[in-house]
Amino acid sequence: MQSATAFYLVLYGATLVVHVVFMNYVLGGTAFLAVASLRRAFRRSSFEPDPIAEMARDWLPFALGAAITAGVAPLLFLQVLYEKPFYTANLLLFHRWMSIVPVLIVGFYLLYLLKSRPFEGKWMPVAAIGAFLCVAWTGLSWTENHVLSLDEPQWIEFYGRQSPAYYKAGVYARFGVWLFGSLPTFALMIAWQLHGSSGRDLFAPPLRRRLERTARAGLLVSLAFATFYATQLNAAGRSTIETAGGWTAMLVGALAMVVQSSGWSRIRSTTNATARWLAVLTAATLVLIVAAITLRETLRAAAHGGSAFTEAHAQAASVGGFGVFVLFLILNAALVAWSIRIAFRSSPSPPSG
Amino acid sequence: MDQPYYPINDFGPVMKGLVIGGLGTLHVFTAQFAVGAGILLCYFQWLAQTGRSAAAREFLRGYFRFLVLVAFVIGALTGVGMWFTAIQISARTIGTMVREFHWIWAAEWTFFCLEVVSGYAFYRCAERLSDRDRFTLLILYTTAAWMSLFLINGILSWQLTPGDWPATRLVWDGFFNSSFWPSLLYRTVAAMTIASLMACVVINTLTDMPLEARKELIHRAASLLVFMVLMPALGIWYFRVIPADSRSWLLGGSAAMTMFTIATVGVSLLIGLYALVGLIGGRLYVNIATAALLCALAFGATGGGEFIREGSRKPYSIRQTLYSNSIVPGDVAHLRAVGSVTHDPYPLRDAGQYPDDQLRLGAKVFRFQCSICHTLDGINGLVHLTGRWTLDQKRMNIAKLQHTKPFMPPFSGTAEELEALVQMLTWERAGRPASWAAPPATGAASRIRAWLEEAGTAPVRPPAG
Repeated sequence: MQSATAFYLVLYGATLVVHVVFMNYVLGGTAFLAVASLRRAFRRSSFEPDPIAEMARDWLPFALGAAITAGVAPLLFLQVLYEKPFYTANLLLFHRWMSIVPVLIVGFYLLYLLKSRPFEGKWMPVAAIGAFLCVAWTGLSWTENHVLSLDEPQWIEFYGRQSPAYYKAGVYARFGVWLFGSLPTFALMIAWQLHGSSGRDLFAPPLRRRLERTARAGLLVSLAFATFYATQLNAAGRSTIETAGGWTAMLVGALAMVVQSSGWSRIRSTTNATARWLAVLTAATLVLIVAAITLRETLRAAAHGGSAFTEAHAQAASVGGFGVFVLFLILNAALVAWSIRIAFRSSPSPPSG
Repeated sequence: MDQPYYPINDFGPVMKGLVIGGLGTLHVFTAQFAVGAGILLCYFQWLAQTGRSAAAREFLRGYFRFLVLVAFVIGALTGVGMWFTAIQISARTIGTMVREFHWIWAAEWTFFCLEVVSGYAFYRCAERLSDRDRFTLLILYTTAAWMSLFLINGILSWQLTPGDWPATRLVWDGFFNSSFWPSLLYRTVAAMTIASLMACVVINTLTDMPLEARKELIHRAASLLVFMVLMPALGIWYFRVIPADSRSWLLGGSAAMTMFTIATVGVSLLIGLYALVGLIGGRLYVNIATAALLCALAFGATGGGEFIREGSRKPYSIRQTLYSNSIVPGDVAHLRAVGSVTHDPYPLRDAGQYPDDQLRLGAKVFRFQCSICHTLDGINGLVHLTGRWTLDQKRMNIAKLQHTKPFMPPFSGTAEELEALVQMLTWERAGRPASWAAPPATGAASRIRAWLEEAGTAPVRPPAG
């Protein structure tokens, strides 16, 4: 692999990890909220407060804003890395693809409605399900776009067919991986938030059990979908993941899943050292995301013929401005940290983490 | 040459430029609102913490909530939407912009992050923060928002005035181009104007507040409108630095562009006069209906400005680098030799509707070379524009396209492709009959070749970059 390609891949991967963390919070959070609000609607007698749902409702609008903002950088580097296939998939999906913008705007406002107190009541399940559907539609569209961008032999026929969507089992399998894979990240982030609010005793054992069940179910079902997706790969794809790099990524990912699973057991059973186990879970979650992205990009590079775009990457790397980016990255990272510090200074019970 | 072929979508009767112009207007309006709102919020925070205005604190709360609900949602998503729409309209244009300026965009992203974090920190925690911390967060937010304008302005103004970039290919030669500063300053004043007018709407919704307090807030918010006095000078500066041919489209050379210019200038003048004479000079109170109307006018002026910016680039999407139909000027001669759609792998979606191969070829040529700015029989439809021309008029006018209409790129195909396009337009004009016997065209190909030769491959006016 050429150095320019590797350079952009690392930047893409690093920024994508940040996006995925927030995206998982939004996808997992809206799914959780939809289920929780439905359960609450059907159990009319139960009006016990649900700290997990409350926390999610409170933070989901910010998380969606953060996910969109964090998504700008990987979207930028994606265009540098895979200009032609990405643009072609965009164009082929046309209305279907462009719909994610208005749909996500609707989803965003539904999240704000869910956050507003006057909106509590019988319409809440409708809003929660609506928000989840908007976010899920966006996720499914991205998955479809990605899979279609890899399927170059199909482009011309797909264009001629003028199909509104790219129906393939692999799309739904991949989406299943992302959807259920978002739950462990969501559970972890909520756990950190509840832990940070422990002065109000919000991170009680029943909540830990719920989060553990959510995370473990997410891990298990996403693993099942990943296995199904592997069966949908063509011969070239299968041979790619059976290389040393592919096996390494899968083994590291599997190890991270085991660590997560056992970490949640400890979180459930321990009352001390919760922060330490949450830190372990955080590390394992990040490792799993990195492994998944590595595998994904390995498959993509193979689908595009390995060195198809190396010349374009080298040309892109030759343009100026990198120094300014690094300068502003460092400066603004410090200013972001300062902003967060100011916000925490205001908090009555800052996370003790 | 390496002409990339992308699948091209048909937008029906809607001109593609209207789609990106419409979304662009919404995005620019909300994004500029976000920039101006930061400045306004800093001002009001200063008023509140220095005791100059008791009502300012109440206003800050309501205004910031409005900012979050409008700019943080619609502004952010239409920003991403602009990228996606740009891909739909001209993948090659946005691809070139990203390739050449991706580090500028990446730097802008770091400011987005600061904008969102400092903004949400203020939104969530302002009530519990000291004045000093509130002011700090607002300064950070405003700096980030304005810097994002600073950075994107360099890329957008480069499209029209690339400066020395075509020769040097140095990113800063392109970024700090001749229209950079007038455009940036004009947009900054526009941002303050939008924020001020939006503030007038928000203040009118604070119905729990006594009328006198609201009046005071309106006058404070309107003080930002005083910078509108700079707009004529900045506009003239901008007009002076843009290429002479672009200037000529706006000042009479193109009826549509001239009307956009007149309407935009007229609306801006109206807002400016009302602001300076009524709000600032006469200390008038503006009610919610008038404030909303002024915002709508500002939205219209923003739209006009965006259409002027888009239209004045013609015949380029990136001056001297890429024509509006995504063809590189240096490739025209090659495409005239080998054909513009000879290697286009994407079939016609409605191939069965054309009676013969010549019409199918014409449809492909239309799709590749014309459909980015024209529809067939909708807005700016070619069937209407060429409907009264004789066959030979069509042949000659299209062959000498950059002479017929100087804001058009040269025709970039073979004589056979041009003839196919002419036949296809004539067939469309005839109501798309099921069978089509092309009218006799003795010597047409040789006449077209001669006209193409005579027209040359260069744009009619030398680039004045």
